[in-house]
Amino acid sequence: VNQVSNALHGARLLIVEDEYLLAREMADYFENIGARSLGRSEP
Amino acid sequence: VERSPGKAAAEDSDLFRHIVESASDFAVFALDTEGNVIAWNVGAERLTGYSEQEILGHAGDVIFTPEDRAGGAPESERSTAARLGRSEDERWHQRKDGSRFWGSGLMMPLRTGNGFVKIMRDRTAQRLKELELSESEERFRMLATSIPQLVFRSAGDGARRWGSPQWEIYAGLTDAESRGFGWLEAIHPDDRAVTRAMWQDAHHSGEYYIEHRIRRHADGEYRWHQTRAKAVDGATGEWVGTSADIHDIRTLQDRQQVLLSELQHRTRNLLSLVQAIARQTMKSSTSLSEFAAQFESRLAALSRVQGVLARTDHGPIKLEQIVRAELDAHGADGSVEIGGPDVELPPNAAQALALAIHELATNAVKYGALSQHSGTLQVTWNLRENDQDNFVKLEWRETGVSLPSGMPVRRGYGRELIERALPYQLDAVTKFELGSDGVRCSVELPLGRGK
Repeated sequence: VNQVSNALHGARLLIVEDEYLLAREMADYFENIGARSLGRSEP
Repeated sequence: VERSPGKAAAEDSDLFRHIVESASDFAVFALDTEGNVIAWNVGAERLTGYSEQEILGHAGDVIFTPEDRAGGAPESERSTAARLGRSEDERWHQRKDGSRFWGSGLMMPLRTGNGFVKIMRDRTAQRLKELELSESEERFRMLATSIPQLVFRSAGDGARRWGSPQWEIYAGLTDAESRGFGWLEAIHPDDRAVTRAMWQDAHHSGEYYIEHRIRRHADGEYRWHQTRAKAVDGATGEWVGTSADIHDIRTLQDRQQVLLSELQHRTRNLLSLVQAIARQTMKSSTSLSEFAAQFESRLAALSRVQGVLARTDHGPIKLEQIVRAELDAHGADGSVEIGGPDVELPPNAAQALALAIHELATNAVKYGALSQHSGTLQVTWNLRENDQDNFVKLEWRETGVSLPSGMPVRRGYGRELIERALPYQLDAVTKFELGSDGVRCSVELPLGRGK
């Protein structure tokens, strides 16, 4: 997990997921490990 | 030492007599022109059961079966031998005790012209084997030509020796065209190489098995068949096999696999959604009991809409059905005004909207129109269209509500579903207002052309 966290720290991510709640969960998760969510894709 | 011609002839005659008498495996006997026995060796005695003493001077045709005697077979045999110099005969004969044997014999006229000699061998065992083989062959043909499978005989390398009539009709190839490797013409070009290669494996294992496509001549369709063959006779290298049409089963299996994958996909998605709802509920809950109540209620809403989706086989769902299901679940009575034109929503829209309506209804039961006698609730919808799309606009309108002081004003999970999730997932335009006498909410969804 730490390796993933380190690798993604500061990374900018675009999450592609059509279910809002899941997209939000993922965005929260990645933001918590230091990544930056650029947003979620259009459905 | 020189012998006189007379003595030599006598010695030759004695030698011949000794040979004949000692040839116990062959019946050798002589008949006069009338068919009476004039000579009878030990082989004849052993084969027929008649001793030389009892048969000499009697009719030799007693060894024929009654039916052949009645049909004149003994006379016919002598007549042929007299006319052509020999008469070959192969038929069932009868022993003294009535039992029968298959005798294969040759009759020739005596040089003296006063009768015939016949040499006969017992071939009963071979005949019975031939009959057995013949019956077995007949049974095989009967079976092979009456079952729906395509039956074939081939060599160990797959070279065909015979194809059943079903094969000829199905593949549109005659038996002659199919022989050797002509039958490969009916196999799908993509399957021919592996079909041939599997015969190499079969040579080692003694069994051939493959699923391949065979062209149905009637309509040109290549249909999946399961072809099996086994070596049945090591001596002749004969293999027998069948091809069974498994096209429908295979198509169903493929479809079942797709459905299974879809089911697994949906199950994973549903579990992820449940997990997300749990986390979001946890964030907005101030106690375990509050979490338990809200989570249970949201799971129930999800379960309701999943139930409706299952009943419609994940097809379109009527908007009214969703609205009524949620309001009924919250105990709304007939005072709620519900109405609008027939609108069908796709499954993904139905689920998201159901969860949002659930939040509105829960709020109305706790703080709004469904919690107060003075409160009224209208849930209505109408259709609109423009150049690009058709839209349905649902309006939730509560009136006559005096908002309690404990009502939360922060943006919670319910508002997030309405204001964020619906626009995100369904491209909806939503509006949520907390008016002085109750909640007003509108959700406008694009339906796609033709909805």
